[in-house]
Amino acid sequence: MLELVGIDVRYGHKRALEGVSMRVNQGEIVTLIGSNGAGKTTALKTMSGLIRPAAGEIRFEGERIDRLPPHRIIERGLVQVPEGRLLFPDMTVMEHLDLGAHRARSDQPFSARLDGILSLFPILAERRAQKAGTLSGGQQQMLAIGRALMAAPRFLMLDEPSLGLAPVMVDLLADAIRTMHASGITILVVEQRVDLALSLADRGYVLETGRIVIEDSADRLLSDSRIKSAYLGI
Amino acid sequence: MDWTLLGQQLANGVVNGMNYVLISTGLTLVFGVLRVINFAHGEFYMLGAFLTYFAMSALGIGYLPAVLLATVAVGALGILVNRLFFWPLRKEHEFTVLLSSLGLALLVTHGAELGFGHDPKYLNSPFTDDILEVGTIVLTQQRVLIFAAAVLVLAATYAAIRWTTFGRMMRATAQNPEGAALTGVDIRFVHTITFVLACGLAGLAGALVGPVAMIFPTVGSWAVLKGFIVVILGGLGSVPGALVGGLTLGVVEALAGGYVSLGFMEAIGYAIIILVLLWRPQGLFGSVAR
Amino acid sequence: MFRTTLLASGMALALLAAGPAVAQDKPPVKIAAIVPQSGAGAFDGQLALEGMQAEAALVNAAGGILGGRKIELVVYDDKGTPEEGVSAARRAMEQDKVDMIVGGWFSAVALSMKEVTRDKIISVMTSSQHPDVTAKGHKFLFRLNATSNMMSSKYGQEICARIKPKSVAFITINDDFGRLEVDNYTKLLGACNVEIKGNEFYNRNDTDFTVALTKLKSLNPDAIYVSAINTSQGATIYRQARQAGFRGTLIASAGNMNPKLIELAGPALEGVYSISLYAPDSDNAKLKAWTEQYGKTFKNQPAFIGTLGAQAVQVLAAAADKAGTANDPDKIAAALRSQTWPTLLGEIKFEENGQALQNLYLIRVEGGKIVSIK
Ligand SMILES: Nc1ncnc2c1ncn2[C@@H]1O[C@H](COP(=O)(O)OP(=O)(O)OP(=O)(O)O)[C@@H](O)[C@H]1O
Ligand SMILES: [Mg+2]
Repeated sequence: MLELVGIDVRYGHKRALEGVSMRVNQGEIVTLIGSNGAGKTTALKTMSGLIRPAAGEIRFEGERIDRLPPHRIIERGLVQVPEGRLLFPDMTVMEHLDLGAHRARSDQPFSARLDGILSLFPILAERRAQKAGTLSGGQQQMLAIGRALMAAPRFLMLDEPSLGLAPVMVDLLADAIRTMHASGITILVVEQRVDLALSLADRGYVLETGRIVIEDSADRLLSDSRIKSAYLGI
Repeated sequence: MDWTLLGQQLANGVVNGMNYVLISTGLTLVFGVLRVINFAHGEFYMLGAFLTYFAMSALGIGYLPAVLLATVAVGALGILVNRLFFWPLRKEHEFTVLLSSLGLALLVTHGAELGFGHDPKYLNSPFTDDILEVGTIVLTQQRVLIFAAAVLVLAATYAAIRWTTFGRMMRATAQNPEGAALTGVDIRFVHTITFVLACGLAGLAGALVGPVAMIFPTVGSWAVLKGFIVVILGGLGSVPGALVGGLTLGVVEALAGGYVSLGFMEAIGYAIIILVLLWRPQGLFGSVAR
Repeated sequence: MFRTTLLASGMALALLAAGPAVAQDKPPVKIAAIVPQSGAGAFDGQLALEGMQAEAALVNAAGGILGGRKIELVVYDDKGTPEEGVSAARRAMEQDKVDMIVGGWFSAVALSMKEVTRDKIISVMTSSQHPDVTAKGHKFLFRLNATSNMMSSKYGQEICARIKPKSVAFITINDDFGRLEVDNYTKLLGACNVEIKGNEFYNRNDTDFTVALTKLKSLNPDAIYVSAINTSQGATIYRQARQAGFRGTLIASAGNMNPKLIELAGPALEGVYSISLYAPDSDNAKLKAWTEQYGKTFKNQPAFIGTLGAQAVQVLAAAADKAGTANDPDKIAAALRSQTWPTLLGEIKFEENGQALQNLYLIRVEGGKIVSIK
């Protein structure tokens, strides 16, 4: 469904990604693992069209998207829940969901998607008139996911969704990811909590200083000694 | 206490203040959305006045249609300005953009001096010399028109920012540009329309206020100066801040001029800047882009 | 073949450009024209410069001076500020080595500039009215305009005798000139029992005067005396005074009536008096020649400030001719002081301190035209 071939990304002279190739098939949950500064966020931003790769190609459903602006990529159903949520602090919950929907290309009507999201995250219904800046961290993460879901994604990328969440919230999040997947959305998740990511995912990639170093099924990665020592602290 | 005089000066101040609001709303929008301080903003005020003048003299149309035409034309110029001077520099350091806008301001002023001549011109509105007496307060029809048109246009602008999808896109871009892009907002489109709106509002202010005094190519530097005082007072990027800041400046100036001196009236603007920067650098309305 | 044609036509062009003058290799006489070309005084500066250019064209067309030398105007922008005026005068003397300087349109500029040119170069100050320009002048300094004291003593009499307001309020610019105006007229009009109701100073860059005029109107004066050198500010004040609902008499400051002001201020200026060195309806032949030349070259209406520029060029040209030199300031200064000069504004004569004695006409706007009252 999504394919990266030989992607290079530079920030000025600094190389952030080098020859990154990966693929995510329809219906999969795939995780991208890597330590701080490995280039995970950079990879996701590149897929969303925020950064132009210096070399390589990105194909979504067979068509090149690496020259498209972000809003055109979103229209195709490739949507991201960004690291740090990137909400609009002075806008209300409903305004976020409204705005999230404005690029949606879907047979499902707005109200149906809204109902779906509000039943997935009932707290958002309660807080619909509240400004995003006044929400708790967990609520903000739900809003960020809700906003992305309003765009009717067929492929959802989540960048460190569990960051800063209380343990109960993390469980809720994991459930939400499973629910979204069950509804037919293909998922690429970047997580610091590698155990969580691998428990959700079918497959995983490991990124180290801008290069993919391991690619394997989630089960095998969980038992891989390099993963255990580097990311699971075992 | 002479209440008639006080009432008259307050009326003068509110009308001037409304003009300041028109000027500074565009300045604050551009800052809020693009994080750019546009030194050339006053030039669109000047162009609004001159285009109205030339629309009347060259096309032979009446004042009001000319105002409309000039406002639309200056607004449309915003597309070009963003395309040529701001969009290409969006990833550069703020200082580079600042210099670019300063360069644009000089370019337009000198261009206007060459094209329109140094000589002041009188923008002839049929409403300028007709006096309207409201109780004991004397206002020209033109000043009433300035006030009414400003209220109407600003109310429409505020409503659009608050309640339309485009308004949401604009606020989203102001509050978190990357978040907005990832929500599907076409940032370039938002920048363009923001410039159209800002330039159009400045142009309208020039077209409306032009007949109250004389117009000349350097009048833009006066306009941008007033705009800066207002946005610093109200908070850079805050639209309600521009409203309250503009009216406050208008009224404070009228009282300072009316009860102390014009020298004090001029100084009070600068005094406000210094006081605000010392005690409340975020302006009266603090947080940006609401 | 082609090359020869090119060469020939090039030479023909060069000859054409040089013109028929025999003395084509004589160096020009360089006169610095230091005028405001930007800022609030830019338009007045343009009128002044145009006046000088029209007169220089007349002199050059008549064969120049000193046996065929042309007058070349070297133009500088003083931006209406003393700092820029000083720097322009320095550049004129040190870099461009001009022979004589014409400048000092604003008193503030003249007062500073004269210190740089002190005893070094012939300096003709033009429209500035501050007495100190000549009272504290130097041996090479001459000033054309009447001082504010000269103007105001004449104008004071006229106001008392012809306009006869019971009371008056002033709106004046907040600088040396404006403060002096207030002092002078407070004394002069007070002496003929006109009650002085008040004064508002405005700033050099003000564009809106409604607040000050509202205040003056509330004092209920018979007349408002408007002291404005800057045409744009003046026009705005006359209009806004009427717009603020003031229905009394408006009196324009001396020397500040011009066609552009009438065009801009419209009906607000009808019937307003002023006094001026320049009566456009005079039948002086030099004035007619200049007015015709001006009309041929420029689209503006000739204005007082332009006649002063022209007068400066006229007397400098004549005095240099008489002295037989363009760059010996002692000889030119002596020549300037030696006689009465016929000029486009009538005969003028310089006092020992360099102050010109000129004719003053009472004028008035009637039917949108400036007419002199005999
Ligand atoms: N805008 C930028 N300009 C320059 N360098 C950047 C920029 N953004 C990221 N980098 C650098 O690129 C490298 C990759 O950063 P990136 O944010 O993609 O890593 P990450 O894997 O997401 O890390 P984290 O786990 O901290 O989120 C890092 O060295 C980072 O410092
Ligand atoms: Mg990251």
